[in-house]
Amino acid sequence: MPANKLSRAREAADHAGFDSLITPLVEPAYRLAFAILRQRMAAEDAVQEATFKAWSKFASFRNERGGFRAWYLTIVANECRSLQRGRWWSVLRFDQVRPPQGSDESAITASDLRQTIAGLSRSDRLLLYLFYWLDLPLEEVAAVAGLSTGAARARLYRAVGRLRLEFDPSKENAT
Amino acid sequence: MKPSARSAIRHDVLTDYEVPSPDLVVRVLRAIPSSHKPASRRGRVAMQTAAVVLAAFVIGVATVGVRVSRGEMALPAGLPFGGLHPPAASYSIVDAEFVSADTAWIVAQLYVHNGPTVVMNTTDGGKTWHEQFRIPDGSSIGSLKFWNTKDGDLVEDVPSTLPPSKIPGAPGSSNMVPRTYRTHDGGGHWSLVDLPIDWSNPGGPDFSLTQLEAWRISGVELRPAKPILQHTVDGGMHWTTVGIVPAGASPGSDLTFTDRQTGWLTSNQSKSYAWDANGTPIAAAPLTALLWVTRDGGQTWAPVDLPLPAEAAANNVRLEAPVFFGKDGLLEFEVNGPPPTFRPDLSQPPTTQGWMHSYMLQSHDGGRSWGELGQTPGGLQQGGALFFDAHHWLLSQGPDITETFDAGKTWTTRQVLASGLGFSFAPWNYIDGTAIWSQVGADRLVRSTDGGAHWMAVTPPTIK
Repeated sequence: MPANKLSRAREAADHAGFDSLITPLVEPAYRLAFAILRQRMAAEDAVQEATFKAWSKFASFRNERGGFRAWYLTIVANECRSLQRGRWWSVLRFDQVRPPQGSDESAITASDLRQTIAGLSRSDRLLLYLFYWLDLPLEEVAAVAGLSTGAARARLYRAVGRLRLEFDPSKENAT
Repeated sequence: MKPSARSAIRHDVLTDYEVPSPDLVVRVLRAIPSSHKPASRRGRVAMQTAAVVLAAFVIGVATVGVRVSRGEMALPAGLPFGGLHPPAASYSIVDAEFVSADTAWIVAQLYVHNGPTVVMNTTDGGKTWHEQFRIPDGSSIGSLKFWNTKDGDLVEDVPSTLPPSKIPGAPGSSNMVPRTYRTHDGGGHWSLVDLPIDWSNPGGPDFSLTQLEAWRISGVELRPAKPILQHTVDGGMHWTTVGIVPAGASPGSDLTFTDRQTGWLTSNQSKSYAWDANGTPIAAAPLTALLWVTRDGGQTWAPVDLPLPAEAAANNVRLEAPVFFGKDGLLEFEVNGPPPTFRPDLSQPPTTQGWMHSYMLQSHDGGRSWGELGQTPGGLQQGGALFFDAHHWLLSQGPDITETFDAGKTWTTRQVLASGLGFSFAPWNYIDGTAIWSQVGADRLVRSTDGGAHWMAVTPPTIK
């Protein structure tokens, strides 16, 4: 059963158990956490902590927009945000990377791109990772980010524009 | 031709990507309490007998545990049953301020989607807590800083109401703007302070020496303009440009001032941001310096020569801000590597596993020269370090504390926390001759009142 339809089978899920719901989502959760935190151990910790919180809040899950996967990934994203916000976060923080001086505006290098991504807001970066890295449908991206689908589409477009990249219309149309 | 957003984003993430541990799913599921399963008839009598004995033991342990968790009783290091296990909060402690042996603030991010963020205060070493500030959904905590038990600033990031701008540094170019609140009675009352917003650096001052005096690096988004250093002496109402950030400094430099005249820029030298066509990392051009100093309040900056270990030449280096006790200085840094070799096939993860080593340099002339390079047994890569003085250091190694009284010549290690937990030592942890506060992970607190010989759990408050 696709993960994004699991919420429709809430009763069945109760019988099946939380473990079977969450197991197929651990890998995408880790990928999201890694994209945000860029450190394996921190990403694994975030997934573990988020999963425990999801378990403890599972009784309050009420078929939210986007389904169980979006609900769970929202908790994962919030856990990553909390980790980054804490000042004990002692690795090289992604958002500390600042643009180099005098670089060629026209060239998109890996360094350039990374620094431009770092200049985006956390929420815009989250949209990019959900849409282009996790390949979630736009409706689910919007649900995780707490936006309407239209707002998510507009902000994605704007974020991509800031990166001076091509917006993928085919990907957008496909959703 | 511009690359597609999809390939660029995937390329960016895969550049760093490390595959998760093979047992991640097992580990995650183990963290969830398992459902109760009925015991077999065969073992039931034996289990009932054992349960009576266990219950007596639990009551005894619980009595001690309650006293420990209330902070009424401290546990020595090296416990036979594995160390201190402070109670976990039902939220994430995303920031904390410890300003004396008794007075502290924590910032709690409540769960459930974008839940509220709450500032809690204690003035009795964590026995009782009081809510002082609540940030609603949609906004978030920017920073919390107290300079003493009375004077503090809280920055709340609120959604911008301006039309969005695509021009970096222009009003509206950030979708969150800071709102600063100030207190002079330890957080009992907060006043909104109407401060001008630096849209090129909306995060606020980079370093505050006092509530009124601070420095910030401005213009970092205004490429290709040079970043400038600005200074305020009226709490951010007015800023004056005092100098230019040195061109050879890393774009990711951190700013610290140890007094009104002496400031430090510590750089993070990363060499893993570029690869050749075969996926082999390209050594980046070395920075002119990893540490810069100003002795005139930021007007001029000079590079500081550091005797780094040989492995720093080809790997990434990250410096902490230097710490000074008079003219004696300590500079903690880490070297991590190797840069991953990037596979042309983007669907494959990078090929190498990383490592990380922590080192310490010492100075005895106020930071003009550095030497006595030594690798430390714990420290940065395992939770940080705290310094009582130039010779007495505490380094965390997960649940253990490694201590030296002779500036790193000899070390002793003892277990303090239960296995699986780890200290999070950081420069903002309060430490004096006897009292130490520390966060443990993201949701636990501990405290010592005898220089780290004994530790007490601090029970995080219940927040509704």
